[in-house]
This record gives sequence, C-alpha cells and structure tokens, in this order.
Amino acid sequence: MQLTAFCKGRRRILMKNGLFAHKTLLVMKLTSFLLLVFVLQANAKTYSQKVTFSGKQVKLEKVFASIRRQTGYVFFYNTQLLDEAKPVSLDVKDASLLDVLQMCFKGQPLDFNIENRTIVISKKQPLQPAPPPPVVPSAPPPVEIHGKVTDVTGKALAGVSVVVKGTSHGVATDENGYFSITAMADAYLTFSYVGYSTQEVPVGNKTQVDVRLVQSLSSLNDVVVVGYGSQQRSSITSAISTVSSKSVENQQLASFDQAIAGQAAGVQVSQVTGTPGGGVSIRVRGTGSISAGNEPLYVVDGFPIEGSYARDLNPLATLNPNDIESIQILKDASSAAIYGSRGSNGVVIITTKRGKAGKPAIEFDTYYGLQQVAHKVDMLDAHDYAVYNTEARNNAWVDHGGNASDPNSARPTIYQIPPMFQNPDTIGKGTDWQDAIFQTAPMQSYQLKFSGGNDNSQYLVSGNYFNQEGIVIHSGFERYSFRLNLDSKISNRFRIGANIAPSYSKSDILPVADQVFTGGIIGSALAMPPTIPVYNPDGTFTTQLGGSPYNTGVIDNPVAIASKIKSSLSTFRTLGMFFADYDILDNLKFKTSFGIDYQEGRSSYFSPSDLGRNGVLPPVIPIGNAASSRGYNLLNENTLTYNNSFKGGHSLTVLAGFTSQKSRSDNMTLSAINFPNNLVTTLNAGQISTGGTTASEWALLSYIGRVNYSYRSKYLVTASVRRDGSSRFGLNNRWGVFPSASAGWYISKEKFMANVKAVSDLKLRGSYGIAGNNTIGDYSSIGLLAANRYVLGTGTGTVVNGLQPVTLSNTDLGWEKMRQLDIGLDLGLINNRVYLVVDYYNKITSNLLLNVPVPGSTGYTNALENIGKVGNKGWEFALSTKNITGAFTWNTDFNIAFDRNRVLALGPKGDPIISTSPSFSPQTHITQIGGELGDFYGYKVIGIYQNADDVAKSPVVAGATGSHPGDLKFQDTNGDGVITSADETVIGSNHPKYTFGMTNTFSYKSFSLSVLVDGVQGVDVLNGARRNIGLVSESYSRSDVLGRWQSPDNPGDGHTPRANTSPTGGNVSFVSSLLIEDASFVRIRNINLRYTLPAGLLKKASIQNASVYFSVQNAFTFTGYKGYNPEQSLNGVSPLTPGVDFNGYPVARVYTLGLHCTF
Amino acid sequence: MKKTLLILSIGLLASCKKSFLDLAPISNANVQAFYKTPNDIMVAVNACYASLQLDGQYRYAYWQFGEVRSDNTYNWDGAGNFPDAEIDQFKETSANAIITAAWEDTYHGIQLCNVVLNRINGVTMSDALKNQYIGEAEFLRALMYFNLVRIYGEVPLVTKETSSVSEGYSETRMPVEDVYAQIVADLTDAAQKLPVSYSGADIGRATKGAATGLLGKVYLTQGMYDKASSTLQQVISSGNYHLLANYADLWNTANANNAESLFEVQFKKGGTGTGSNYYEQFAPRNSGTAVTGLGFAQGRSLPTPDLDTSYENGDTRKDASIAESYVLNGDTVYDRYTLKFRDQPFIDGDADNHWPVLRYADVLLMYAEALNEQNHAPNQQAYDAVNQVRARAGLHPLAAGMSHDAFAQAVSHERRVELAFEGQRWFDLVRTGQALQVMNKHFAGSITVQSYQLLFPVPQTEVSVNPDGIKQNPGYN
Repeated sequence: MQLTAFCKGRRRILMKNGLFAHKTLLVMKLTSFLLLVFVLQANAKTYSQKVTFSGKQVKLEKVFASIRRQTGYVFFYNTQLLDEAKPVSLDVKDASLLDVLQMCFKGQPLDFNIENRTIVISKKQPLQPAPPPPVVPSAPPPVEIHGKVTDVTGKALAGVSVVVKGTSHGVATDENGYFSITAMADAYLTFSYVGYSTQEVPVGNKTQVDVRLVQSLSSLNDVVVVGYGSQQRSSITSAISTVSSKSVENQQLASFDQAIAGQAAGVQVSQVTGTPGGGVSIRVRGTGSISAGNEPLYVVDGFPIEGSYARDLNPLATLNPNDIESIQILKDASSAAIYGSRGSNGVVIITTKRGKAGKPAIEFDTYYGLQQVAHKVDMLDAHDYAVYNTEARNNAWVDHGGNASDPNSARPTIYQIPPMFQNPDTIGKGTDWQDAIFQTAPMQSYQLKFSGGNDNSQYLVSGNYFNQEGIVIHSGFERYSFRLNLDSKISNRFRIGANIAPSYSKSDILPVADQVFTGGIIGSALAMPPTIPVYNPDGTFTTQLGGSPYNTGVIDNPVAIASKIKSSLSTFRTLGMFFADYDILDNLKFKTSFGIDYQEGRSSYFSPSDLGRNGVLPPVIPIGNAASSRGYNLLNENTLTYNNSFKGGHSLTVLAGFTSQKSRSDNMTLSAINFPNNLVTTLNAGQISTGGTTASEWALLSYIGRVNYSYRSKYLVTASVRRDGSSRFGLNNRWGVFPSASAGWYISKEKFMANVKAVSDLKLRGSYGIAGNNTIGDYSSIGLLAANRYVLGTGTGTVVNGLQPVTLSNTDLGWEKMRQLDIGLDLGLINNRVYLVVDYYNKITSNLLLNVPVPGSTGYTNALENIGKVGNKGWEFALSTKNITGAFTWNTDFNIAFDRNRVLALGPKGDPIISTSPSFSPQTHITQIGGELGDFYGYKVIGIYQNADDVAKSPVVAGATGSHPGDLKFQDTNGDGVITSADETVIGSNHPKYTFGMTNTFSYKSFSLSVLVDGVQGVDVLNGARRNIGLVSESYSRSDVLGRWQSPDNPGDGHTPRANTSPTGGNVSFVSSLLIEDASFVRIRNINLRYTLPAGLLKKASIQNASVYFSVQNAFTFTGYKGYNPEQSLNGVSPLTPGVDFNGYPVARVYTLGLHCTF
Repeated sequence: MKKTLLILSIGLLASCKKSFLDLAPISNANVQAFYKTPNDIMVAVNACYASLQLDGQYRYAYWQFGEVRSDNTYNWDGAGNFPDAEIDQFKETSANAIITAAWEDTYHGIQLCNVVLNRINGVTMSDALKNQYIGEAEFLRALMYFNLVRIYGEVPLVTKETSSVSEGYSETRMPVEDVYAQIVADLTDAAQKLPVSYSGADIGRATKGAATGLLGKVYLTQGMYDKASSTLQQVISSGNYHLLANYADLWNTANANNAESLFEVQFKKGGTGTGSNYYEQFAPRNSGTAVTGLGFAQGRSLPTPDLDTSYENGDTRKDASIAESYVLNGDTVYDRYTLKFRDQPFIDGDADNHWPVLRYADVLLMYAEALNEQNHAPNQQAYDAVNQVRARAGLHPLAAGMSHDAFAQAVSHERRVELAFEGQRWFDLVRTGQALQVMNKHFAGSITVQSYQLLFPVPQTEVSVNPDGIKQNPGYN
C-alpha cells in the first residue's frame, strides 16, 4: 500500500527527535524530563496503521505481539481466554488493522473491541435473540448507513465496534461517535462496546441508524482497578464494589464521597453535617476501631491518602467530582490487605478521567442550584410558649410550697408570671428564629474540559469553579480546581504520564453547631424566645439579656452571630504524580511513580466587640485568631508485574513491589486580643496573646507481593502479602506482615453447567486475610514530654518553662489487626439481565488501640495499649436487573447490607467504657463486652407519674429535687426501689440494623431519569438538642411539649413530662430514653432527569451534543426523627459516642438545573 | 534503559535505610533524650511547681475541699447538681469529677517530683544546686502527699519514678502513718537542703522556712504538739518572716512573696496560660461582669452569712475580705463575695492572684494552738502569737487566763477569719475534731454530716481500674 513521501520524510525527522529524546532521558533526571517529554510529544514516533504478517498456524498471542509492534495498538485480554482460541494462518501485507483482526477472530469464540489504542478481547457473548429476518423477495443492493452511537445520556461513544452481523465486515465509531458502513438491507448491525450491552439493529431501508447503548450492569469484561493494578471483573475473587462516574455525575455535590451513599452494599456514607464543603463519614462494613479511626483509606490515581473526618472542611472536597472516572471500594481483607497496615477500614480507589486519542473534545458543564433547609424543627409559637412558660412557673412555685393561683405579689421574682405572658392570645406567633437564620441559597458550578491527543500522547485538562452558599446565612464554600492528566508513549516499550491537580477552596465557617450560651447559631435560634424580635426598633440586633422575664441566661442573637463573626478556612492542595512504565520483557513490566500531596491551609477568626460572648453582654474585648498549616506527603512506588500463560490453561500474574511514603505537617496558631476597634480584623491590629508552632512526621516503608493464578479461567487463586514498617509503631514492633488469600470457582464455566441456560454466570468465591490500622498517632509509642509553665521571680514574676512527661513509653505499641473472612457468590441469570452478588463476612479487629485508664498513682490517667477486640459480621446483597430493555429501558440496582457489631474484649479487666459525648455533662454512652460500640446509656423512661399515689408506690428519684406527679417515670433496672445512677442501662443503638440503596434508571429516546433512594433502618440518635429546647429551665421549646402531662385528668401523650422551670425528678438532668429518637429513614436522595437535545438543532451551533438536566438532591426524607437530619452526628461518627445530634448544620434540599455540552 | 531502571530501583531500595523510620518527635521532647544537664533538671523541677496550678490541685480542687466544704463558703447551685455543689452539700459520690481530678493531678505532680529525684543523680552539677533541687522536689512531694492524706486518708505511697503501667497495679492504699512518715522524712530533709531565701528570678521557690513551716503543720495535724511547737518555733525565731502591717496589702498582687509569705502557688496573667481565675470563680453568680470585669461570674465559693457575722466589731480584716454588694446596671445587688482575689484579668480567667499555701499568720496561730494543746492551757508565747495576729487586725488582745478550751476556741475563730477563703477552714475543723458539730450546726438540719464524710471518697475510676489494690473509703460506694 502506498506510504506517501511526506509520511516517510516525516518519519525520518521524527526518528531523529526520538533519538534525541532517548539520549535526553538517559542524561536528565527524572524530575525534569517530565516537562520536556510533553514538549516533544507532538514529535514522538508514530506508528503505521497497516499490518504486515505472514505465518501458518500461529498462536494468536504471537500475532498480537506483532500487531502491537507495528501499530502501537495494545491488546487487553484475560490470558485464559486465549486458551480457547485456535491458531490462525495469515499472509497479509500492509493490510488494515481491522481487516487483520477480523481474520484473526474469524470462527474464534472471541470478540474484540477497539477502544482508543487498545484492543479489548472478550468472550463472545450470546446476543439477544434477534427477531427472524424479514422475508425479502429480492436482494436489494448494499446501502451506505451513517449514524451516531451515544450512551443513554447522549454522550458520544468513540471506538464502538459496528459489525454487520454474521460477517467480519465492521468499523469502529470515531471520537465523536459517528460511523459509516455498507450493508445489505436484510442485514443486522451489531453495536458492541466494553461496559455496554450489545445492541442489534436491522438495517431495513434506513440509511441513518442512531444507537444508544445502555451500560451493561455486570460487565464481566469491565476493568476493575485493584491495588497496584487492574483486573477484569470476571477474574475477581474478592469483595469489591464499583461506583460509576454516572452516579457521581447525576448528583451535584461538593465532594464525591457523598455520591457513594446508597450505591455500594456495606458502605455506609453518612452526611453527618450539612456544612457546605463539610465532612462526610464513611464506614465500610461497620465500625472496627475505637480510637484509631474508621474512615477508609483513599487511593487517588494510586496515591494513598488517609481518610479523616473534619466537620468544617472535608479533605476530599478539594477533589473535583467531575474529574472522577470510577470509584472502587475494596471491602474484604483479600483486596485491602495489599494496603497492609492501612487497609483495615476498607480502601476507596478513585480513578480520574484521562485523555483519549482523537479529535480534541471540549466539554462544558454548568449547573445552578437552589438550596433550602430540608426540614425545620417544629417549635412552639409565641402564644403556646407563653402558656407553657406560665404553667412551668406555676408548677415550680407549687413545688416550692406556693399555690398556682397566687398573685405575683405573693411570689419570689423567678416564679412571677411576667405581664407579657398573661394574655397569650395577644402575643400571636412571634418571631420564627429558624427563618431568620436560614436562607434559600444558590449553588453553582462551571466546568470546562479539554481532552484529546494522538496515538502517542493524550491529555486531559479541566478547570472547575464551584460555589455553594450555605443555607445558614453567611456560610458557604467555594472551590477552584484544575487538573492536567497526561500520558505519553516514548517508545514501544516505554510510557510515561503525569497527573497534576491543584485546587483552592475557601469556606466561610460559622459556629453553627456550637451550643447555646457559647455562641452556637442554631442552638441560639432554637432557644431564643419567639417573643423577641430579631431587631430593635433602631435596627440594632436584640439580645436576650437573661433575667426577667425569661430567666434563661444570656442568649446572643443568632443572626448577629452569623453576621458579625468573620471566620474563614482556606486550603490549597495539589496532588501531583509522575509515573513511568517500561516493558523489560514482553510480559514483564516495571512501573515507577513519584508523587506529592501538598496541602496548605489557613484559617482566621475574628469576633468583634459588639457581639456578646459566652454569656457576657457586649461590649466585649474583640478577639481573633489565625492558624496555618502546611503538609506534604511524598510517595515513591516501584512495581514489577509479570504476566504469562502456559500450556494447559495455566495463567499467572505476579506483582512485586517496594514503596516508601513520608509525610510531614507543620502548624502554626496565633491568637490576639484587645483590638482597639472592629475595623481591622487581622491580628496585627490586636495584641498577640498566645501563639505557637508544631510539627509532626511519619514514614512508611513497604514491600508488596501478589500472585494471581488461574486454571482455564475456572479456578482462580490470588494470594498477596505486604510487609509494612512504620515510624509510628513501637521499637519492638516496627514491622508488620499482612497476608491474604482468595479463591474463586467459576461454576458456570464448568461443562455440567452448559445446559443450565438460565444461569449465565455463576461464581463462588472466598477470601481470608489480615489488614491493619496504623492511625495510632505519630508518636504514640514514645514517652513524650510536654511543656508546662510556672511563675517565679520578683514582683508579679516571670514565666519559666517546665517539661513534664505526659505519656508513658510503650515500645510494644503496634497496629490494630483486622482479620476477615469473606464468602461471596456472583450469580447472573437470563444473560445477566438479573445479576446478584451476595457476600457474607466476618471481620474481627483485635489489638485495638485503647487509651485505657491506668491507676492514677502512676501519675498518668490513661495509657495507650493494643488491647480490645471488636467484631463485625454481616450479609450484603446487591441485585441489578434490567427490567425493560429496548427503546424504553428500565434498570434497577438494589443493595442491602446487614452488619452486626459486637465488642469482644476491652481493657485489661474488661470493664465497660462509659463515655460522655461532647456538649453533655452526664455520661451518654457505654461500650461493653457483648454490646455494640457506643450504645446509648441512661435512664429508661417507662412513662409519667400520673399522681401522688403513683409517686408513693413506684420507685422514684429521691430527694428535694426528686420525682413529682408529671415527672418522668424511670425503669428501676436493679430493682432496689429507688431510681439512682445504678439504674442506667442501654437505651438505644446507633448501629443500624440494615442499610439499603436503590437506583432506578429509566430512559426513553432523549430522556433519561434516575432515582436514587437509600435508607438506614433500626438506628437511634441521641437528640441532645432536646435538652436545650424544651427541657432545660425556661428556654424555648419544641412543639412536642404540647403533649405534656398537665394533670391526672390531662395526662398528655404519656411520655412528655410536665412543664417546670425548676425541673425535678431527673426530667432534665438525666440522659434518658426521652432523648433517644428513632432515626430510621428512607431518603429520596437524588432524582435526575436528563434530556438530550436533538442533534440537528445542535449542528447549527456546532455543538456535537448537549443535554440539559434537572436534579433534586435530598428530595425527601421519610423519618420519624424530629431533628434536622437523622444522619446528624457530632464529631462525625466517633466510635465511643456515635449518633449525637446537637444543633448540627442541617442538610439542604437542592434543586439544580444543568447543561452539558460537547463541542 | 533496562539498566538505568534497574540501577534506579536498586538505588531506591538501598537509599531507604532503617533511619527512614526512626522519627523522633519534633514538637515534644521525649523521655529518652532528656534529663542530661543541670538545666534539664531545673526545667523538670519547674514542671513540679507547675503541677500545683492544675485543676486537681490549687487552681480548682484545693479550695473546694478546704473552703467550700466548710461553713465559710457555699456554692451558688443550691440544687447541688454540679460536682462542686455536691462537695458543698456533702452529696458527693465517688464519681465526682473534682475528687477524681484531685487524685489524678496530685499524683501527676508526685510523679514529676519522683522523676527529678530519680534522674538528678545521673547529672553532674554543684552540690548546692543539687541539694536545692532535691529539697524542692521533696518539699513539693510532701505538700502533695499532705493534701492527699488529708483528703482521702490512706493513699498509695509512690516514691519512685513510674516507668510502666504495670507498676501502678501493685500500688495499694498505705496506712496514714506511713504516708505521714514519708511526708515528715521529705520535709525534714528538704528543710536541711533548701536555702533560707532566694533572690531575683528564683524567688517563689520552696525555702527552708516553707519546709519547716509545713512540717509544723504536719506535726500539728498528726497531734504531735511538742514537735509542732518546736518546729514552728524555728520559723518564728528565724526572724525571716513577719506580718505585714496592713492586712489588705496581702491581697495586692504587687506584694507577692512578701515578708509574711512562706509559700504560695504563683500565677501570672498575660495570656501565657499561667494566670489564675479565682476572681471569676469567687464572683457572685448572675453578677454578669459587674464584679469580674471580664469573664463569667461562677459563684463557686461565696461567703456564708455565718462567716460574715463571725467577724468581731472593728476587725479590719472583714472589709478587706468580704464585699457585701455590687452594682449591676445601676442597681445595687446585695450578694457577698470575697475581695481577697481581685486582680484585674488580662483575658477571661487570666489574673495574677497567687494562692497562699502558708503564711506567717498561719504559723503564729498554729504555734499558739500547738502550745495550748501541748500544755493543756495557753502560755504567754501562745497569747503573744495570737495577739500579734489580732493586733494587726485592729483588735484588742485576748483576755488573759483563758482555759484550754476557751483558748482553743479563740484560736479556731481567729484562724477562721484570718484565713477565710484560703482553703484552711475544713482541714482545721477536721484537725480540731469540730467538723461534725460545726457543720451540722451550720446546716441546721437541712443536711446531716456523718463522720465518714470527714474523708472524701476515693475516685471510682481508681477503684475500678485496680479493685484489688484500691478499696473505697467506708460509707461511700
């Protein structure tokens, strides 16, 4: 065939440059050649599109190797597949690649697809039964058919193989999804593409065939990214859940982790705060650790990042969700053990999108949303408040020996009924303080993405601006993020690439979730009497001064707090990675990568003089503080991968590697006081009162190894081991070994299954392994000295420094150890239209790091020890069904998981750990052997004392503030006839009985609709806010006090105690089951409706395709929970004190309208 | 290329030496690398003093036991729901947070002293300096054990540096006599080793006088009156101490470490974390910032009416000790509070007020008490000592010829008003055997104090952690 002179000439020039590149490589340091290579990429060597080959009865592998060398196309296949292939005889010269491939695959039990420069080989899938071909009287001439292939959203699919059925005649779609092929009118075209269901279309008299491919639900040929490599889904023997980019795209969220909710069985994603850009808490297969953290390890494009929860700024919110291609969650020990001492909480592997060869694609995506508080707390209005308060004062006065009918003149001040409460009917509804602090807030995002490249180098450049104002006034989050992903082939054997993703984000942080009296905005809004307006007549903010008439103590105006506090948090983060891989032999690949995760954060805070603070009225002395932190995390990974198959159907993949990682963080804080005014809020204006810097480091060295072996694709075995050395571990325990093994039996490939037509896929798998948790603190094993200070010297003295030991050395300290057994079943029915994955797991985490109480006479109260054991076992079911296929499609993904958490061992003596949630003074939780981690602990309410006789005859709280009629009646757990702290018992659990999620996707023509519903059932939340609203003294109240006991004749709802400004009988002071609310919920988390604009319309505007979408996030939550959000939790989901809601930031319902265009 | 990569990977492997994982703490010193130089020891001794500022020692707990427990002061919370109100109203349980903190923080201080005494021998320094540091650590350890034994009775007696958790489980409560024997031994040795006084930057460290004076108090508490009187006599005759002319001057923070002071816990404001918050702890609840100026008025040690009326007419100490009212929003509110700790704070809870542990007036009154007990009647030295204190207060001398009991009562009363709010009263009542009678009279039937309540309960956490070694005091569960 003809190669033009131009091409030849160009090749020569390129060769020169190629040589130059090689030389340079040898000379230059790895760090600097990165840039150079991409300068050169346009000149890099190109390959012929034509193939020349000659040979008889040659094994396919050999043909492939030759094609790869000539064309640069790489083959991707499971080596077992080729065992079933016949050798081929070929004699072609300068033939087209497609022709050669078709010759190779003729009569083979195999299919191929060309995707970019990759040829993916798969087992021939049985096609959907085609209708009988129409009887045509005479054969018309072949026609040329054009068309476009898209996915259900209208996105063009490039590289889709379009083949005339029953022939080897086929083409692939171009980068814009277009194809052109000739076929007879009686022919059928089959469209196949990796990850999508194959479709068949009769040609008939059409010349235009547009096809929309539906993503296949269990695409066994999908590539699953696993630790340090990837595998085809069919060869996986461990428990891995995949979340596609689709479900991330459908949800307009600040961070991708929120999008996982409801998508993966056994992965509980809790939106514990609604703070814009705020933290999300993720638990993979329950809670396994008490103090070393329970968030999974995140691996972003190969870079391991330790998960952590931060209420105000989710560390993962720095990553733009639109850049994500796929999310895999490694759930069992076999898949996670390759991450060794960091794998015990599961691993979330995130892969970002990369450029593809072809015409440059420009994508623009934007959306605008409106957010509103999804649920308001139902509060008393001013009228009911006045009635309630009057009754409460009367009851307190009666308790103190008075009479409810006594006039004010006969009562001490605190029992007097203020004139304003005496005529409740004239008060009206009053101020709705929640309306005052909540707003309908906009949210918007703009994203521009360029991608493309040639056969040798591909790029993806994206930029995104995201801005979310908070539903609480004056709060918000904004982010600028950029990404550059590059891949380039230096030679046939040598490839390099880089990812760099800088982002800057800024949050306006307010003390939304702090408590009333300490400036909490929601707490104050719920405690502020409705009889107080937001503004004074002169326009200044009101303040509840304390004292008469409300007697509540000073409550700062929440609108004033939100308006006057200046507080922000900003982060700059860059995740950069450079990698190179080199084929030492055809089946031996060396890969090395260097990466850095660099983070810089700054926060500033200023509280002005005209805002009261902690119960002190303004004017106060303004205070301010500032903090900055810088952290870097350096990574180097080197792996060798050997991949080969042998005679007789054996195939083997061996991975060996060495990695090192080092991290350092530096922090600085400064506080200042005595600002002369509120004009300048930076600390230079004030007087610096305290400040300091700290730094901390850790390092990790690891050796990894893994073997995958399979025999005839039926019997699959994987074994892996990792040896981790960590600077965090004690000297006697510096290295840990984390082995795992798994096996799978592909039953459906056995001969005896050949006749079971209904079963299209059946695999049994089992795994066992050990992983660790090294989040034990950087220096926990070393006895530390901390500074303290004293005052000596003349006059008022001078501060002198002291150093005191604050921890005891523990040279044995090590990682927490998780052992897990997993047994799973994958079952596909009716050509995988129904696909079921079932897993049973039993996970035991031992050597738990516990800060155990030690005898005080040692001089220490606690010491860290590896002690304690927690078990989680459960079942997970994931069911995918294609309910309706064809023009109208309906697919359902359903998953449900049951996890049972048990504490198996604790402390040296096995004593229960009784804990107190932040913001509480009485204890709230108990962790005891046989129970769950952090069960709610307190008095169990069994009713209300109805009358004096009831009080006299029942066990009661004794003493002057003891039980009265109308007070809560508690269970006398120990049966001693009185209610004391010994009667406290387990009163609830924050561990759900089960969690589930369901996505229904419908598509018809240009419309697609997806609805995601998820739920958590059998879970309780301690509604701490209830203590402040309606139970404490005279503060404002939730409307359920309308069901209070008022008299024996008017007993109310049977569980709400009487009104009382001097509460008795433990109504307020006890943590009781009254505060425990059932927080089970079913949430329509996301509804997304997408419409793809007609192509004809777009062509004029030179837009290739465009779609508009409307989406509702948190559309509706069905729950009996009375707070803002049943997932709310202080401090994330802290293991010992989980599930406490204390005026947390509510989640928003978001209506979004979006547009996606490709140019 | 292959070679390059191979060399590169081998190089990477080799470059990662073992030291890669040996990371010492950056922002904390660590135990292994410290206690090498005289300066290290000085810093370690400073840490022992600093422990006196802990909540469980003098910042918070000490005056709860010494003062709020007694008939001198009360807590604002009449319902008794908070830990400090429980102590005020004899309602405390073994889970009381203050009682728990006192145990933990005092033993923490003791461990710091033990560290100094354990490590100092490995460090080369002058004998004078070494003696001083040993004396200081012994003095502080004795002071802390003295507080422990008076609060809890029998306590574990740890005199060695604890280096592993397991050592703690073998510690059991030791007889009170053994604890006192250790206190006496420490103070006796400290009195020999410590200098008479310091100058410049060292002022405020424990002196010979402090050790001797405290030893006198220990003997007095044990009922060893002859040893008490002779020991206190040494302080008096040393001539190193005398009463300030004006009682009110004692509470001026500019007069820290004055001629009357034997030992005080030192605080300093200025945002350094060493300030005291007594002013806001003792300000009347609901006074806003009318009394504190800055910071929340906690109302945790308020003068009882009983104390207020117990001052004799003309006693200048009353006006220097108690305010009867404050002005809030232009209105005069009649609510008493103490004037002894009234420094203007720098920021919330950050003032200069020191805590007076031992002052010369206390020494004089103890001396009088010891002599009266020793001789079963007051002698002239006893009269002289008391009258010296009374004269400064603008009061006439005690009538001559008092009986033992009458004199004992007079001294007791004198101590009450002289040392009011200083954390002496409860321990005085217990030492002199008056606690039950005085407190039950004070409560007039609303609360009945029982004899087991002369000691506080051992923290429940201690009993739980080491049930074999630590038993609860009788009467508590």
